[in-house]
Parts: sequence; C-alpha cells; structure tokens
Amino acid sequence: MKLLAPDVGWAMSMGRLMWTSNGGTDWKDITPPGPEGAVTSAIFFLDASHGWVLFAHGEPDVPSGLRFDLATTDNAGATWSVEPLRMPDWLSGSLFGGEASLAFADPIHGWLSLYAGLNDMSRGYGSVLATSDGGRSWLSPHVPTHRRGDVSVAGPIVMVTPQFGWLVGGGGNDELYVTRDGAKTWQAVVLESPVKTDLMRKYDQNFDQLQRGFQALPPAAAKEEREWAQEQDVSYAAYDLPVF
Amino acid sequence: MFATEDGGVTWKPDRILTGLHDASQESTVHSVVVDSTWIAGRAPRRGLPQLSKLGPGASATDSTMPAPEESGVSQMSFATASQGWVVTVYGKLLSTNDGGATWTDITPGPPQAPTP
Repeated sequence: MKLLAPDVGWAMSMGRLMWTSNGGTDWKDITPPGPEGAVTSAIFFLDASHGWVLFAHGEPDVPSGLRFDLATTDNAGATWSVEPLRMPDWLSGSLFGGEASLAFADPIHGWLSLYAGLNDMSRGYGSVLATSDGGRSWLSPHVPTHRRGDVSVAGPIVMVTPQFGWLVGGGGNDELYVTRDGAKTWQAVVLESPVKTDLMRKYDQNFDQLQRGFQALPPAAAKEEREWAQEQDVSYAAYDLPVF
Repeated sequence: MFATEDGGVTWKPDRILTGLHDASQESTVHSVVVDSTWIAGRAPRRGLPQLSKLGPGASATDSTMPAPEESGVSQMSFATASQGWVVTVYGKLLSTNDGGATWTDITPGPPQAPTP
C-alpha cells in the first residue's frame, strides 16, 4: 500500500494489485501476469507511471529452487513486461526465503535486496543486487571479501540517489546501514539512545519450581496477562512499580 | 528519533517518540515521516485510526497517548502531513484528507469478474 500523490496510489487486496487515481473512489486491477503459484515478494512504484513487481516461485527449500520474475511497467500498470530475474550465477544456488525489497532512484537505477533465509538466524542477511538498465539485468555491486567485518546484510532498502541509500538488516533486522557508493559497501550506523525508555521491555521474570514468582510487564501487556491468567485459573496480583 | 544534516556522518537526538511500541501486539506501531512531521497511527478494535503527530523539536508531551486497548496499524503512507492512507490490522484501507480528523473507507472491493 502506497500513496504516491494525494490522489494516486496502489494497494494489495486479496492478492491483487489495485490502482487508484482519484483518492480511492475507483480502483483498477493492475495485477501483472505472474507465473502460476507465484507470490509477490516486493512492489515499488517510483512515480505515477514507473513500477516494478517481483514474483517468487518454485521450491524455496531447495538450492536454486526458488526463482524470481520481475514485472515492469512504465504506464501505471496498463501493460507489464514480465521477465525472469537475471541474477549473477554465483547467487543462483543461494537459499533465499522469498522476502525482498525493491528501490529505484530513477527509471533505470534500481536495487533489489533479497533476504530472509530458511530460518530466523539468516534473516537480515542476503544479497543486494543493482541494475542500471531498468531491471533487465542485475549485478551484485558488493563482492564478498570474506574478511573479518565483511558481512552481506540485506533487508528493507531505500535509495535516495544512485549512490546514497539506507538499509535495515542484520541478524535482528534492526541494524542500520548506509551506502555512499551505490551499494558496493555498507557501513553500520550506530545510534546510542540518549534516554533509556525500554526498561520495561525486558519483561524480567523470576519463577521458582512451584511457578511462584514475579513478572514485570508494561500496563497493556499486564492487562492481557491478567485476562489470560483468569482463563487459565492462574493467580496474579498486580503491583505498581516506580517509573524511572 | 535521531536526525542527520550531513548524510548520516553525524546524528543528534531530534525528538522523543512515545507510543510506538504496541505492547498488546508485541510489535512496533507503524509510522511515517512526511513534511518534517512524524506520524504514528493506531486503530481501535472498533473505530477509526488515531494519529500521533510530532513535529521537529517536539517532546513526549506533544504526542497523543493511545489508549491501552488499541492495537497497531499495519501499514501507513502519507503524501502530505494531512493526506494519507492507513491499513488497519483488520484489513481496512482508510484515507484522510485532514490529518486524521475524518476518515473514508477506501478498501478495494473483490476483483470484478470479466463481463462476458
């Protein structure tokens, strides 16, 4: 779902890509003709004309089993060109989970972040590909060196210019990276919080073998916990903690 | 929230955001930045989305604290600070032209069967 201009935008509904140019009063189905059984991995519209849709299909559990097709339009989805994604050979055997993020800085310069492996451990790692021909061919701007500190991060990506952009990735999908060379290299950006507002998110628990103990929860979570406890016939007593 | 004016070389705290963690859903409330205004949205189980807006230099007291029984908005997109869309966790697509004061349900209907 994306509002591209005050009255123009797209939304996915029931697996269909819908388009409006009058603020949602009328919708047009502009779903590209994807392969049978394909799932939509990523959608990006640069403006009210140029858009790209990435389809994933095949066998995600088998090396080289997951395949991608890219649909391209330059007329707001009135017509689409759908082609198999041409990625570097050395990436073809990788185990991608099908999750992806697309970003274009202009109609020809684009980036594709393929991520989410078979388990959560590989989430946030993957490969970023780049195109300079509108999506017809893709290359990896980052060639792994396998040296210490060289990690292949991948995740939601935003490119401001063909050289400068941002990416959120890493094992917890919560690390911020910046590139200033068109995704050839990514530098981690560390932001130290000036305030510690997440003390209660640790949910400290301390229970003994008889399941007697304490659990610290923020108010909303405590409310749900008490409702659950009542259903399970578990006894809870609530105590207010001082706010730091 | 941190802000940079030199392409990310240096960062400084810009404003304090509250209510962005949806404890009942164990998730982060979706939010967007548009026209230098940070907009976060929540939607009651029954009702219309409630927006929290923070301009530059705003503090926690400037935000609208959502009620605990509210749940998160699943997606947000704003073209301007007043014109935007929100998808609720229950699948409704709503639009606003006045910064969230009023909402219109613009959920696309099911695909139309082709006319024979």
